[in-house]
Amino acid sequence: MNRDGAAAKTARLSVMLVLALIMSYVENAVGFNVGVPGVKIGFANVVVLFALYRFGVPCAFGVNICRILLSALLFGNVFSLMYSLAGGLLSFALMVGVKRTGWFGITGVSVIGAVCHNIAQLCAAAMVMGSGYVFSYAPVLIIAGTVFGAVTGAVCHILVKKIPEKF
Amino acid sequence: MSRGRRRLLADLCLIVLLIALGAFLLFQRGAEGSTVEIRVNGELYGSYALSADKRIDIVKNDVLLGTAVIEDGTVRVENALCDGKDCEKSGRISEVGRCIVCLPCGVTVTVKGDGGLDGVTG
Repeated sequence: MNRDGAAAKTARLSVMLVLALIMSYVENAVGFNVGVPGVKIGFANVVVLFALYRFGVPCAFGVNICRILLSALLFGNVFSLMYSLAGGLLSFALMVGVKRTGWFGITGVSVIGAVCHNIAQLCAAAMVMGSGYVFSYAPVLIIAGTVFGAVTGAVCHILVKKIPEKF
Repeated sequence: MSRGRRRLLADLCLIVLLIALGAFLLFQRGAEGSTVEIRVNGELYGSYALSADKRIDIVKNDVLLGTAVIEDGTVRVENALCDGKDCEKSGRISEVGRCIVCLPCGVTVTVKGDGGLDGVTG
């Protein structure tokens, strides 16, 4: 069986995308809610990070953007799409940048991604609301992003280590 | 020190730093506000004194988006139209710059001070 060809890569990336979608679904279904809009665990980021470390930037970007569009189509609406896009794209760009520097491990990259995700969504909310007062949520969102980003990053770190190169 | 070790250390520093930053911002208490400003999709809906107890129904296009309840110098949101009820769970607020946001309804309830620059306090 050919495990190196383009078809194999396509299949692996499809699995990644489906996994990311399931994670988004679980996230929505669990409805983890602490009374602050925007606080969530970010299961899907585990998959995106994994793709980033295993398959490189273009593939991870593809998985990420497809996940955002499809999950908005399946579970969300136009509003949630806008927030997801703002958070997803900015956090992805920063995670790629930070990963390039090589200063941080997967956990650090994940934390930065999570915090930026939350900040980007706050900015999107500020634009929608036309008021900067939503930034009063920033402290809670920074802490939540750090904690959950660290957890998902650690999980991803273990996965990258344990899952063989050719799974 | 190995590269992995150094990265682990950098990760830990980053986490501690960010949590410290968040906590610092969180515990900066603002001054008690004097008025409540309600906006719907960025448009001013009304401004109310925080000192007088009052219930304000926020109605847009004949739809009740929610009710802002002013009580004992604090304000909270009730009867929210949205599913998540994040705005209701936000509880009571009273400090300048604090706000309750209902993203689905586009409603913001903000506490303001006596004129001047409020700034955005944690």
